[in-house]
Amino acid sequence: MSDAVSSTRDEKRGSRFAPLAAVVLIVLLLAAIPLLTDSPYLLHVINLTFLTILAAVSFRTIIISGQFPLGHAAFMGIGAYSSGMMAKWLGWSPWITIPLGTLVATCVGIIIGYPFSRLRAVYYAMVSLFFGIAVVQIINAGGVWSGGYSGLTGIPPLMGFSKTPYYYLFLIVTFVSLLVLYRFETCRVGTTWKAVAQSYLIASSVGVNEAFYRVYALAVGCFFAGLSGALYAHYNFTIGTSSFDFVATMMFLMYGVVGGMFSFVGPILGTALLVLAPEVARGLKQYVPYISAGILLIVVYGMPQGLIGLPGMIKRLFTGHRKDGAGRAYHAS
Amino acid sequence: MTLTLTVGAIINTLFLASMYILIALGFALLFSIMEILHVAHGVIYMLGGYICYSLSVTLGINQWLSLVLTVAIVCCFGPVLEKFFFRPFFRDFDRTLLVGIGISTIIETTMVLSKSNEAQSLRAFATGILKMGPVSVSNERLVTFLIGALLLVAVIWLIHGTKIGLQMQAVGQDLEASLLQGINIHRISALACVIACGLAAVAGSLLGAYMGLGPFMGDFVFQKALVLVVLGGIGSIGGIFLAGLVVGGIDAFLPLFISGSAASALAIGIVIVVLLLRPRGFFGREMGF
Amino acid sequence: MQSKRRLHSFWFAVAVVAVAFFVFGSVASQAAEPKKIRVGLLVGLTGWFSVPGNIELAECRTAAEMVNDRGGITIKGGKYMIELVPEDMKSTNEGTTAAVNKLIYDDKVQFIVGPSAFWGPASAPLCEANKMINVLGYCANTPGELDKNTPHRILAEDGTMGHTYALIKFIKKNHPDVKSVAIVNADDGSIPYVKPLIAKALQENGISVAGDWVLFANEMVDFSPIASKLAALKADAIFHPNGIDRHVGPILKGLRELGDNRWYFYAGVSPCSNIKTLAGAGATKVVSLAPTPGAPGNPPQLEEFIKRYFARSKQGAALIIQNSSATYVLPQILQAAQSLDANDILKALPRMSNFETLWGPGHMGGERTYGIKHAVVHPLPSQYLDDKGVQKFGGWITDVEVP
Repeated sequence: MSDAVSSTRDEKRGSRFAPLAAVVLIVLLLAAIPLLTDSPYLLHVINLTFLTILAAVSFRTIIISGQFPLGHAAFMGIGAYSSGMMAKWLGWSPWITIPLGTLVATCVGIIIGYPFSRLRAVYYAMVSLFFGIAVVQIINAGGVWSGGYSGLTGIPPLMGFSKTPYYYLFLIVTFVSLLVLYRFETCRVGTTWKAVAQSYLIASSVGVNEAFYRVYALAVGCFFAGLSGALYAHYNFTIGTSSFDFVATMMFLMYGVVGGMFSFVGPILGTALLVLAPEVARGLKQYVPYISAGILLIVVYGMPQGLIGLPGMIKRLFTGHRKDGAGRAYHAS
Repeated sequence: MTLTLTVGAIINTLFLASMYILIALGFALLFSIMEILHVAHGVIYMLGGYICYSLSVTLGINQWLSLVLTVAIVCCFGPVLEKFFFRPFFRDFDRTLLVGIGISTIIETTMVLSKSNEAQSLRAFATGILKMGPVSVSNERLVTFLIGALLLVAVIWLIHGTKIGLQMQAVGQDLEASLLQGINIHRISALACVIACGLAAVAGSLLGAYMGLGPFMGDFVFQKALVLVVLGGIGSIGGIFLAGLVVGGIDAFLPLFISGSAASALAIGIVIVVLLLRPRGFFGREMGF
Repeated sequence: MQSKRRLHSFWFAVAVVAVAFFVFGSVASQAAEPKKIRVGLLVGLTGWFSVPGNIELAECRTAAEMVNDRGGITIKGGKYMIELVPEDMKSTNEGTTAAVNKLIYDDKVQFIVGPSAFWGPASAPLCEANKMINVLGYCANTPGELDKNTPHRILAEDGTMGHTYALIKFIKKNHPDVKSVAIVNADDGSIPYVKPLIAKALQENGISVAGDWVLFANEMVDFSPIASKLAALKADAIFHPNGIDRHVGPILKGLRELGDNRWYFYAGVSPCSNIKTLAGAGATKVVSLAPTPGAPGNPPQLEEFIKRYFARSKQGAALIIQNSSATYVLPQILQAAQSLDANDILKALPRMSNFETLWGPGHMGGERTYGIKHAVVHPLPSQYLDDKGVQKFGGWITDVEVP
């Protein structure tokens, strides 16, 4: 299905300090925002963006291994609901239930990973999609415990009601998680994932245990999705299944494609744009969906490599080089 | 379970199966046969229902004639779909998926903004109730069932019995070989889109009369159609028939025993288990990727 | 792809449109003028609940307009107008929280109206934490929606329980022969909480419940299995506490198709005309608690509201009057308390007795049902389709009680 191989072409051939410096600069800038602004609402939006970025990048992590998890948002939901329910009904502290919720999501990922990983790409996608639907339905059928269709309310907050502590926590958690995920992707595990994605036969002919690595990717992806969900539950104080259904997974795909699926930074950019744009355009009220859909269509039609490919496109525009066949499609048919 | 309830559930199964098959046919033609992922199928279905409404209720044209006209109008979307939404992203599932979602969002939002009425429905295509012993079925459901069955047979004949159908299958199975054989991919795809739109229009009109219209009435279509296609097996329309019966049966019998959302959860769980045991579905062929 | 020139013009057009949208968008969310009370409004303008949501926006604007056209309200000698600040809650719990965040921190509203339907609990944590008075348009009795722990919440509509109590009164008065009912409802999160209350209320009025409640999944599309299940239950009538026309119509259709000709008592707000549209020939013997324009006993403010609302939107659009009820009642609460301070208002609340609601005179209640006496209880109208499907006005239920 999607082939997110080799972002090395986009890595600077020159100084290796440039991207590092850029990252440090961005983190410092982000850290300074709460000190510069007096709008808790802006912090709220950025908090949500942090968590969504985490989930979107974890989505991409699974895609790298050649699996198309169309039920990914359900793991966010599993993390959120297990943590929320444990905190609400068992009275445990959110500091304990959040790691536990993450663990639950990871375990579910591993449990379904083995039977699911035997399936080939498109079948996996379908079964994953149906699994996502099943999780949502099971939560809806949870009666008093999960709040059913009305959602789970009364979730104890992690750190009170002010936005700033959450801001710094999410900034740190997201940054560290992204580092970890980046490390996964660039080290041997990540290369193995990409190998497995490319060809089952060749990978196993070199002694790679294909099933193990696919479940590994799924576990890692579900871990961070579950973490994102669990943090979200104790930040939002109320959760509903509408945040974790197929539409939500499609949003991750959207963020990835808009940003550029073949690059690690792609989903980050895509998420930032597609979360902030509707917020900025809130004044348009009923017309806001046009903005998101508009951005989506513009990028899908006009930018084959997503936003990441934009500098390249502009460069080609100025240097007068013609595109080599509608840009490099990241998917090889 | 009493006799009445059992007989009622069997009738519901047949009707639900025909309903699901009706909405899945257009989607199946494109995805199952030609491997084009038509996410906006639900939206075309919805538009079909609304166009039929405008013709028959607002303009007062005879409802059956409106149905025919609706099909004609919606079929015109077919080539547009093919040229602008499928051709640029041929075989690129991610983008086809996202474009479909983008289009669906735009059209649904437009529908919400242009409608302030809360309930609209087409009049029933057939009135009256047929009673045969313990069985009591409305003529409306009967007509929907018959049309669904007819269309299913027609599509199966089209796919397996005509040259065009064989060409469609060829394009879906092996693109390069079809090109070598001289098949015009774009023309075949456009034709498939036209037929798919027409099928969606019929489904939208019939079910718009049975269930009422709404801007989001197409939301469940994608999910149900996908279940039917995957369960039936990609590449097989006949599989959809069996899948429709199975899913219809589950949806008709489970709510009698299990209350509320638990029934939906169990229904999807059953589908997942079946797929894990037999990923190809009932009669599907192996997908090449 | 295309030639360079077409590519250039494509991107230029995109840039222009993008700039226009962003400028328009940010301008449209400008701050308010002075001497107005900024009232935030939570409605679903996008998403699956957007059809009722957009109707509610128009209704609330109508209600605010009515209050302002009378000269607004007077607090300690100063005149104040109501300024509605709507925010889209996107038909999700998460969207509701985001909208509440925006209203409190960015739009800096003084009060919040909404949500309606079953979205209530989502706005509670933030409003309580910020001591923001939140007037609800509906209450489905789920925990955290309206109880002892939510002292800043006020309910300005009868809610599920109020509607149920009213419908039971209607049945006792007009259908005294009904001694047992089969209950059907959507399986939303409120069922475990309202079930004992509704069962008790029916029992206290000599009506028994046949079998167990028939619950259906919210996203159910075809209701024939539900109709089959209901038809098999032996009871005098069907009772449906909370739902919308999209549920009632098809269930009714299915029942009639199976030959079930019992009365269908529906305690919701969707009008019989909508139910008739969706049920077709099966639309007979159904009762709803929706208002009938021009009916005898309609209070003048309701008639005025209906007239203004239809002038503003398309004639024939259904009325919901949940958030708009809240929008209408809030200014009166403020005027009765003669203060804009949350603490003063809440202290004065128990002393308030009579309100003018869109439905007629209302009073405070809800101590036993919700645990906190913050519910405005008002009369409810009724309408029904007789056995020939003709719509008739069923009279006003004036003695609605929510203990």
